[in-house]
Amino acid sequence: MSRASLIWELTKRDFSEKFAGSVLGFVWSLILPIVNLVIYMLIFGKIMGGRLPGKSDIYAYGVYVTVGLVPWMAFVGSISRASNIFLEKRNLISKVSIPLPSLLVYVNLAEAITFMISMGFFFIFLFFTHHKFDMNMLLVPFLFYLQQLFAFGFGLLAATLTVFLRDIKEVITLTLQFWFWFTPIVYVRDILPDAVKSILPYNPAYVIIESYQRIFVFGTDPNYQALIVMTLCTHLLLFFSYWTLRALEKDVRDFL
Amino acid sequence: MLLAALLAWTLLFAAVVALFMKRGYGRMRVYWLIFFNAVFLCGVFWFFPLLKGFHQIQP
Repeated sequence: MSRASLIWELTKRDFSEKFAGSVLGFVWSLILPIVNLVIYMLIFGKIMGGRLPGKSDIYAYGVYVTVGLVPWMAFVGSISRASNIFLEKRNLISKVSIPLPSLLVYVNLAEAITFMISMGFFFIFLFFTHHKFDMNMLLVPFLFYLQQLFAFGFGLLAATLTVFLRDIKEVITLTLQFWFWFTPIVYVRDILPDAVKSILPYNPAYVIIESYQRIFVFGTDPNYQALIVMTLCTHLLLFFSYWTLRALEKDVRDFL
Repeated sequence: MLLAALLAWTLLFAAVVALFMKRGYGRMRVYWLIFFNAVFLCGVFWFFPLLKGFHQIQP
């Protein structure tokens, strides 16, 4: 079996295992994003009356929350699952000669499929609410690619180190909690104190989420300079993570 | 035009990666792929605003 087909097989199995035993099966992966979208738009926007400063549109806050939470879920899902993937798949690793980074590729792919389903429904919603479509929306796949690359690099480093020190998985869970509240996803950046605002550009998740928010909510260009810096940092992280894995690969396989 | 440019750039990147994977280059292959990937994404974020500006001044 080629490497690509193995990754695809693992991705398919991941989906089927997620809804194993349920009557609706794969349909749940379509229902859940719709329910989330309804919650963001109706509960946050209409019932709770959430509004964005300077925006009169009743769905503006719902759109703001959606374009923050949907990518964030994929980002967090990729990192948190990746951090434990070598331990989780230790039986497979010991039986089949599989390159270790391939396991992270399938985790990323599974999260990407969920993201695409959610964004598909989101675009349908935008179409029916006569949302203004902008050329900047063409950047969305590239933004998502960049965020998943960062998650891949971070996850690869975490997965390698978790084999030797299991506590790292718990540390990552806690870090992701803090990271979520340090990133303006459900609140607006303006409510933060100036000291926190000044360090926000160093938060990679902020650079990405802010780009989505600018494109979908404010109709402006993302900060291209910040995205280029983020791209360079992400690839340095990927380089370092892969180098670490190569250096420790023999020990990782022995430990497993 | 913008969409065509993005598609062309992506296809060029995919072709380079495919060619590179076919020819091998051993253990350094992944490091080269990381490098190509960085060039690809930097290219997108560098040229997108320029192309968009060009697109907007077209009659």
